[in-house]
Amino acid sequence: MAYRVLIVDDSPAMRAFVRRVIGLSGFDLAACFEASNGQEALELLRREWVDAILTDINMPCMDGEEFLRRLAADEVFRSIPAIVISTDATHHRKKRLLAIGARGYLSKPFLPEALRAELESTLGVPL
Amino acid sequence: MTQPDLDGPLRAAVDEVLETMFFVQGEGEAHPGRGPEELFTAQVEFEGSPPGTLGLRITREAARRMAADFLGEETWDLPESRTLDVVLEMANMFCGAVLSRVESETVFRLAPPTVTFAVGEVVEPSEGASIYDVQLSEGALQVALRTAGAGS
Repeated sequence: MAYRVLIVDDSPAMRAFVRRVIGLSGFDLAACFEASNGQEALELLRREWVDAILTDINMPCMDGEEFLRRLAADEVFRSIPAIVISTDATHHRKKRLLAIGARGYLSKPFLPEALRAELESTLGVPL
Repeated sequence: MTQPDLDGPLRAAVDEVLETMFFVQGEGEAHPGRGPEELFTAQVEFEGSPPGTLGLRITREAARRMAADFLGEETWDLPESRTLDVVLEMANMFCGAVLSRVESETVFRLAPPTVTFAVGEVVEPSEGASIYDVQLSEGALQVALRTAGAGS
């Protein structure tokens, strides 16, 4: 099965890198969408279904925490697993984001294999 | 936390980001900005305990090569704006990686990275900063971290 993934990050370089790394990792990708903040991501989700979301935290307009809260509050979007990709690897930040709805957490820097493993684990892809 | 405590975490964080995200290893010490090469520079301010600033200087050719590798593109085909995007993200990752090592018990928040000086302008790092100079195959990189109160 191939998956549709949304990348949410205000850095165009980071979005391009994540898209590239997903491809390099061997993850089965059907389509990849991009948004530069939580607000853009919510608008895109009203038009496109995705299987998983990879989101940054520090973003203008609507940051990752608010985006996760909006996803959790939406009857449809709450079923889409969201994985946080952040430079903040501290325990208390991970705990807080997982508590408000993130299903996974990947701290930068990360290896391509780690991104694939996090996606597959979150999506329940059989080994 | 005292400023000297940052030297080791800064080196470890920079090395890890370079190896993991940019697939490069440092080739010893270098001093970007002391020669005639043009530079890209970026800065990230952070709130935490204590707050501070991370500054990055990288020679132009090294930045172009690393940006191309990061994005999976060719250097000849890469607009300068995209190289700058990568330099800004590099500064963001260095800052987050070092703070995650030293501020594990406190909340820190990074401001968006900014380009601080025009290409080619040489600025000496501020007094009291922890500095890590890295020789790269196509140039040099310098990362400086200064926390509030250091060097004063």
